[in-house]
Amino acid sequence: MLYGHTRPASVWSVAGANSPAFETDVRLDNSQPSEQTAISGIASSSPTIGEYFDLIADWSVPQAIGVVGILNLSCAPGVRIVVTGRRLGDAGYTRDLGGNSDTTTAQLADGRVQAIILPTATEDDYIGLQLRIYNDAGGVTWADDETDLFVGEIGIFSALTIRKLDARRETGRTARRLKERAVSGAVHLARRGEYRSLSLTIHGTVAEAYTRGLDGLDWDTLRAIQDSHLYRALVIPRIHGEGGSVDYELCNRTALFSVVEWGDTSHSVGQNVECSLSVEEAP
Amino acid sequence: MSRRYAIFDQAHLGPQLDVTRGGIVLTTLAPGLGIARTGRCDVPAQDFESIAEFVVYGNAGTSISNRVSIGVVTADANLNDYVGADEYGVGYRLGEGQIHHDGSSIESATVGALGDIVGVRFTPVDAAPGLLTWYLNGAPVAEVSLPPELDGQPLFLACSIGSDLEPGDLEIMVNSGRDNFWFPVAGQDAGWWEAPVLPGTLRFGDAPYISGRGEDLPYVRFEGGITENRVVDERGVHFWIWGGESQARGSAAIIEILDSEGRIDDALGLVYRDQPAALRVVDPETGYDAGHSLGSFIVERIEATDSLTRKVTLRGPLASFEVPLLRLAVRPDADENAVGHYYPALIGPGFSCPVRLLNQASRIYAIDSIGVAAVGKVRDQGVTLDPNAPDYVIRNGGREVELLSEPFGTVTVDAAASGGAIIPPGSIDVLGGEGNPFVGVGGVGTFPDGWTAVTAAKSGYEPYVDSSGRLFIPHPDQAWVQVLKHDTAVLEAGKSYILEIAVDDLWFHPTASSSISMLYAPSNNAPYWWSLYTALHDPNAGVYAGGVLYPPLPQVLTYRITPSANMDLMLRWRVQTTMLPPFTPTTAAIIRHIKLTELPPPEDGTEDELEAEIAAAALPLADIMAEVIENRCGLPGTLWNRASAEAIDAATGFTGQGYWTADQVKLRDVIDTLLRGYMASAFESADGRLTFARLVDPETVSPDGADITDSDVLNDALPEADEMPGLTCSIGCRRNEHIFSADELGDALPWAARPKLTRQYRYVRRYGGPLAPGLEHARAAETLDSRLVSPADSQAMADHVGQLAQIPRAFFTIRVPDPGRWEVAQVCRLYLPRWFKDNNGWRNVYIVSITNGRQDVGTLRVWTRAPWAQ
Repeated sequence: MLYGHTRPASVWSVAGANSPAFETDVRLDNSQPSEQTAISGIASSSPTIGEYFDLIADWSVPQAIGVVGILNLSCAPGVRIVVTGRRLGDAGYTRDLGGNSDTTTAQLADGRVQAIILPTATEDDYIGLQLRIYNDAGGVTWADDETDLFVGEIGIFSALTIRKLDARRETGRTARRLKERAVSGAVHLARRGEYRSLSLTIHGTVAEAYTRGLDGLDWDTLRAIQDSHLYRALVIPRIHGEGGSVDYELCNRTALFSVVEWGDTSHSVGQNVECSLSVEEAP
Repeated sequence: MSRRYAIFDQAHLGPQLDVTRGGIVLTTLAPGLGIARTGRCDVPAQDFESIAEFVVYGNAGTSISNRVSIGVVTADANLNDYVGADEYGVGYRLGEGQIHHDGSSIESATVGALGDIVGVRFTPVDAAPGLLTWYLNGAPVAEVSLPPELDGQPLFLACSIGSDLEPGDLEIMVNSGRDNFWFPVAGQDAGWWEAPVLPGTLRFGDAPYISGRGEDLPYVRFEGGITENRVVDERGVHFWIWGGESQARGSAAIIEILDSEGRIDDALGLVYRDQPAALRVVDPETGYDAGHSLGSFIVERIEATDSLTRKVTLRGPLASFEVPLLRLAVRPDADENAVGHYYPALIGPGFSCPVRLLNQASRIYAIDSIGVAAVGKVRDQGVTLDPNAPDYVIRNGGREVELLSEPFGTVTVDAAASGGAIIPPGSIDVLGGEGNPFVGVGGVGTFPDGWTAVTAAKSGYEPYVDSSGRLFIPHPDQAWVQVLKHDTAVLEAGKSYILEIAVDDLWFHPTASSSISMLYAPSNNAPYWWSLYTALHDPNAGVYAGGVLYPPLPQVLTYRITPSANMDLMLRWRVQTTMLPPFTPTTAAIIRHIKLTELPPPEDGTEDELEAEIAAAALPLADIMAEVIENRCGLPGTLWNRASAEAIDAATGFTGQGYWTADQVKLRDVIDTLLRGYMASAFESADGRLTFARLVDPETVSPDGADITDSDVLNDALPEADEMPGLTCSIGCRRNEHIFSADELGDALPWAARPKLTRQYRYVRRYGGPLAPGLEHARAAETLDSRLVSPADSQAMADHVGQLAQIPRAFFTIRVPDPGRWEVAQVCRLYLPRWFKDNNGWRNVYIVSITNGRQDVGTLRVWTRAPWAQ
C-alpha cells in the first residue's frame, strides 16, 4: 500500500503562451478537492494539440515526490499531462520524474476526472513541480481561448510503502441517499454526496510502529500528523497488477485522497505489531 | 437594512452649542450669541445622493438674521465660525438668503423665516464636483457645484445657530431620513446615512461552485459546506377563523454550514443583521444564471453551534414588513405634549378619526401624515361643524385641520386620504357664485351673467353690474315690475337652504314702496313667497324664514328655506311712481350679493351624501396594499405580489377598505388587519414574495395545483377536525375610529344620529344560515374587526364565512417527496381512498401550509370537507 503522507507548503503560479491566469483565489492545496480553482487562458483561439500551459508549484523545504494526485478536473478524460520536477540548484523544472509522469487524465466510476502520478525518482531534494497540461486529448484539442480549466486539488506527497497488509480488507461506498416509500409503495430517492472508504489492518515491526522504521517515519508519527484539520493522506491500496508491474489505471481508480483514522496498535508475538486503518475519501 | 443616519455630533460642536434629544436637536447654551459657531453631524455623504431636512424653530419673534447657516463642511472646517465662513464649508444663510463659501456670498437664495424647513441635498456627479442643492419648504432655492476644497472630501452636514434673549430660543432639528420628510423632494427612502461596514458578500452552496466566465457575475466562488439539504422553512396561510393573533406566518430558513477553516468568523453574531440573502437552486452544468430562485430572505444572525458548524438564520420576506407605519414626526415647535408623537395615518376613508392636537393656541390638529384628499364631516362632540361658516379650514396640504373656535369636546373627522391633492367639499353655493359677486356678461355696466330677464325692464333702465360686482337696478321713474331668474338654480323639495341677500340700497316710500321678492312662478303677477318689503310668509311654500329684519339698509339678510316643491330661484323687483317727497330717485335697489347654500340634512343616522362620498373613496385590496407598503412605508414593489391582491379584488368585487391609526403599528400588522375583511392571508410564496390568498371552499373551484396521488403520500394521513375557534358570524364595517360615549355628545346632535357614532361599527352584517355541528360558538362571538367600508361587502363577507362554516371541515397533514411541486393556497386533488369514500377517493383540498418545502421531503397541511360530512 502506497501511503502519501507529507505535502510541501507550495506557492502556485501559471505560465504559458496564452497568458493563463487564475480567475479565483488559488485553492489547489487546501485539502478540499471539491473546491476548484478556475484557470483561464489555457489555449488559443486557433488551438493545436501542441499547445500547453504550465501549473507550477514552488516550495522552500526540499522533499521527495512520491505521488502526485491531480484531482477533480473539469476537462475530459484522456488529456495529456506531463509532470516534471525541480531540485535544489536547478534553474527550471526539467527533471524527468519517471514512472507515469507523462500521462493522461482518467475517469473514476462516478465520473470524476483525475490523474494519479507515481514517479520513480527517489531524490529528496525537490523544491518545485511543473504540470504541463497539453491541449491534446488523444490527438484532438479539447480547449480553445474560451475554455477554462477548473482544478480541484493538486496533492504533492512524499510517500512510503506499507508492505504487510492483512489479506482481508474492505472497500465500500457510502449510501447517504435518502430513500422513502409512499403508501402505494412507490420509491422516492434523494441524492446525497457519496464517498469511498477502505478499512484494513496493517502489520509491521516495533521499529515501524515506534522508532522510525518506515523511511524515517513510524506509525506513531503518521498517526500524530493526522491531527491537523487540513491533513489529508493519499492512499493507494494496490499498486501492482496481475503481472507484477505497476498498474496505473488501478492506481487511479483506487487512490483515496482521504482522512485516515488509525486504530490502536496491537502487540502480538515477538516484534510483530498490527494496527487497523480506516480510510475515508475526502472528495 | 441597518442604517446609521446623520445626527449632530457631540464631539464636533462650536462654542456654546449643545445637542439634545439624542443628537437630533442643536441648541445654544447662552443668550445673545451670534452666528459664529458650527455644529457638525457625524455621518459623511456617501457615493449616492444624500439628503436631509432641518427644521428651524424657536421662540416666536426671535430674529434669525445673522443667526442661522445650514449646509455642509469638511472635517477641516473651523467650528468657531459659521458654516461657509471658511473655505471648507458651504452654508445657506437663512436670514440673509445667501449661500456662503469662504466668508462671502457665492449665490443668492430666498430669505427664510423662523419655522421654515430647509432641505440640503448632495448629488454626486461622475468625474466632476458634486452638486449641493438647498430647499426652502420643499422649493429649491439654490444649487451650487461643490467648491474644490470640498470636492473629494468627506462631507458632513453642519449648522450654525445663535440666540437672542435666552439660550435655546433658536434651535435646529435634523431629520436625515429616519423619519419621513416634510417635503420628500428625493422620495421618502432617501436620506443622509451610511450602511454598516461588512466583511463582504458571503456565498455558500451544498457543493462548492464557481460561476462560469459568461455569467453576470463571472468566477464568483461559492463555498461548499452546507450540510446536506437542511434549508428548513415553513410557509403558510392562517385565517382569522382559526384564531390566534397573526394571520401571516413568516418563513425562516436555517442553514448549517461547515466552516473548518474559520472563513466566516468575522461574520458571526449580528454583523450581517438585516442584510438581504437569496437562496437559489443552481445546476453547475447550466450555470448560475440559469438557476431558479428559492426566495429572498434577510439575515437574522450567524452563530457558531460547535467548533465546526455555523448556523445562519434567515428570515422570510415578512420580516421586511416589520417596519413602522407612522413616520412623520410632529414638528419640534408644536405643543410640548405633541412633540415626540407621529402624525396619524389615514389610508383610504376613515370615519370618526380623532385628530391629534398640535397647537392648542391656534387649534391646529393633525389628521394624516401625507394629507387627506377629501374631508367629510368634521365633528366636535359629535356635532357636525360647518365648512362654510367656516368653522374649520384644512391646512398644510391636508395634513392638518384648524378649528376657528375652541372645540367643546373630542374633535373627529370623516376623511379620505390616498396621498392626492385636496378635493374641497362639494360646491356650497347653489348659484355657483353667480351673484356673489355679480359679473356682467359684457363686463361692468352689462346684464348679470347666469341670470335671465323673464320680463323686461323699461327700456334704458335695465339692471346692470357695477364696478363693485353689485347688481344695480335703476328706477324708471314710473311703476315697474321685472322678474329675473337664475339660469340653473333649483331649490329641491324637502331640502333646506340658506338664502343670503345683501342689499346696499332700496328706495322706500311709505305709500309707494319698492320691493324685492322671491316668486313661485315666472310671471309679473305671480304670488311671491318672500319680499324684502312686505315679508310675507306663505305656509303653502313651506317657508320657515326665521323672521325678517326690516331695514335700516344696507343689510345682510339670511333666511332658512325648506321648499315643499321644487322651485326655481326668481327675483322680482317692483317700484311705484310717486309725486310725494322724497322725489323719485334714480336707484330702485342695489344688491351687493345673493347666495343660496344647501344645508346638509339633519342627521338621522342614515348615510348622507357626504358620508357616501367619503365611503366611495374605499381602496381595493391591491391599491390599499400598494399605498401602505410602497407609499407609506417606502418598501420596493418587488417584495410583494400585487397580482395576487388584484385577483382577490376580482374574486370578491368588494369596493374596498380604509385604514386609520394614531398609534405606532408595524406594517405587518396593518397588512394582517387589511386582509381580515377579505378572509385573506399573506404568505411567502416560493418566489420569496409576500403573496395574498383567500380561503375558499376547495370544492367550489377548479384545482390549480398538481394532484397528490397515493405515490406522493408517505404517511398515513389522518383527519383533524377544524374547530374554527375564531369564527364569528358578525362582520363589522365602516369602523368608528373614535367611539363617542353618550355623555361626550353635544346636545345639538339629533338622537337619531347617536347610535351611529356610539358603536364600533356604523354597520354590522350577519350570517344567519346553518352552521356545522360544533361551530355554534360563532353566533356569540365578537364582531369581526374589519376595515370594510360598504355594508354590501360586509354582507358578502358574512355569506362567505357561512359557506365555509356550514360544512364540517378537517385538516390532513401529508408527508410528500419533492414538495416544491406544490404551493401554499393552491387547490389540488388529493387521493385518500381510506377517508374520501365518495368520488373514488379523490377530493379537492386547500393547501394551508408547506413545511420544509425546499427539502427532499416536506409536509403539506391541507384543509377540506371533513370525511364525516359525506
